Amino acid sequence: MIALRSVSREYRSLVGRTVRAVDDVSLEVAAGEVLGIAGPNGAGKTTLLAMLLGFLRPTAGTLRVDGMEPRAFVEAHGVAYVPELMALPLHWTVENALHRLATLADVPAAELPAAVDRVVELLAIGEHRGKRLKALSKGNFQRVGIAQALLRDDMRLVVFDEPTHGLDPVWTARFREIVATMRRPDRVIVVASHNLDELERICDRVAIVDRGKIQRVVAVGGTAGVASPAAAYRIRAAAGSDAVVAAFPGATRSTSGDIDVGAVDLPTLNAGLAAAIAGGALISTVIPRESALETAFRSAVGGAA
Amino acid sequence: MMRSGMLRYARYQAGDFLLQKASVPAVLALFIGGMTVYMASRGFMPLDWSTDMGAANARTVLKQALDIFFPLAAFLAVNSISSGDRQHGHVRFLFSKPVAVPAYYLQTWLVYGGMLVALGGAFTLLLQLFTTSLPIAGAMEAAALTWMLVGGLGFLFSTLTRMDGAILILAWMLSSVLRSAAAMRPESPLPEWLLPIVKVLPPADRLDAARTALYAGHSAGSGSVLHVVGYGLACLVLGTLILRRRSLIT
Repeated sequence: MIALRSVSREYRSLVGRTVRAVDDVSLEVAAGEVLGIAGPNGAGKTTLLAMLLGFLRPTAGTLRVDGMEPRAFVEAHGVAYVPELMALPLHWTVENALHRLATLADVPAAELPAAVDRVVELLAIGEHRGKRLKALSKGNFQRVGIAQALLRDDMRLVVFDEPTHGLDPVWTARFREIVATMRRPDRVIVVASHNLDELERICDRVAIVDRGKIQRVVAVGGTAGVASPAAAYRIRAAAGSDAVVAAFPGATRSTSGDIDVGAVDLPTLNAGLAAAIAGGALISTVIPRESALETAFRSAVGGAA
Repeated sequence: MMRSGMLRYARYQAGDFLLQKASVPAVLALFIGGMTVYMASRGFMPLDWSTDMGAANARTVLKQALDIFFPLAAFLAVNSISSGDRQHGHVRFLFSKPVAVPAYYLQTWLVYGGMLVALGGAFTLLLQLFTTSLPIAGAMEAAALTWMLVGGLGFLFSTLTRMDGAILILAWMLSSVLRSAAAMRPESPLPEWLLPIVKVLPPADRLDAARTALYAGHSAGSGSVLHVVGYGLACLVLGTLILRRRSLIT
């Protein structure tokens, strides 16, 4: 549904200096997929999303959404979009903002009150309906931002840019549930975030962006699992810790007495655990020290994050 | 084809005009008109609205009030009409909806213009209630011409830069100064190199002449009307083309 072919975007300053924010990016995203975009600050994530929404044009390459120029797609179908920057006129009330944006989203007049009620209930912002936006806390403002994106439930492209920024842990978890319910075979959901744990939980694939390029695309969801190849683990043994160390060459003991195992894939991990148990170890805990996504991220951005 | 949601959004744009754009100049105009009428009714000025002199004075009051209201309201309304949304980031919310950017701003421009014309008519009608018969249609035509020129030029500048308000004032002042200088000293025309600049500057003098005629109950003159409307329309078309092509964020 989304196809980027050698897409680049350059910015030119008044003095003629050129900065390439996105550099020769190619990527395809199929309908039904949830794609994450991760990267350090200034990596090009926001520019990539701006081009996907038709706010910016690529200076080179082609970008198509459902075979259309992004701006044409947005004008024809609209996009459920939560921007990183919550910029709405602050004198608007929550109610007014949602009614206005629902009207622009072309929600039929007869269905509009129900659509607003639905998102107000979903995001639990009922007590704030009459408040001006400037009176809201950052987290509540963010919930209004998410609510306006959900006013229509037939959008085929959903774009979240740092969607849980400012949300408390309860609403961060609630947001993940909402995204899970939004999955549809004909819909693409794109989530840009610094939060790798969040991306790992909700996405099928994560594109790691740095210095304007997609450095790596990591499969994280479903069958890929949390502990895909080359993840590191911390193992705690109630007894027989020597057997664990012996089963994993290169393993080290932490100050707490746990055993840190370097990057191993799942078959190696299971074989090692079996050997340790056979050698008399009583394993109490196995914890991934960092996920495959974290490992891939560190490797892709060279420690820049 | 324009979506029904966009059309329904016009009521919010009309509300924005009334609350944010027209309130200050309307208060000013009402103050000036109201004070003059009040002073006349209290005998501070020898005004009898039913005489020819009274009618002429009523038109002077109308001119004084509307000469403040129309240019100021038009300037405030068109200032940042599209650049403000880019500057403050509102574009990210507005234009992720199924909305065409040029259509959205053209509709805003039309609604603001329509409201300005309606308010001009309403103000004249109000003044008429306390004075004598006034050229309501003429006042509305003056509002429309002001909006065509100030609104059209402001629309164009707003598509280009966030400094649109300052540039609009500068262009307007430059036009007024140069054209006044040329009109006052016809025996010593402007230097040749200035003539092309004067030609592209807004025809402020034509608008002033048209408005003065309209407030007096005369015709604006087809030459002035064509010049003003043509200039404003050209700016509007150019601005629309720029909106079609330019990036929404920088």
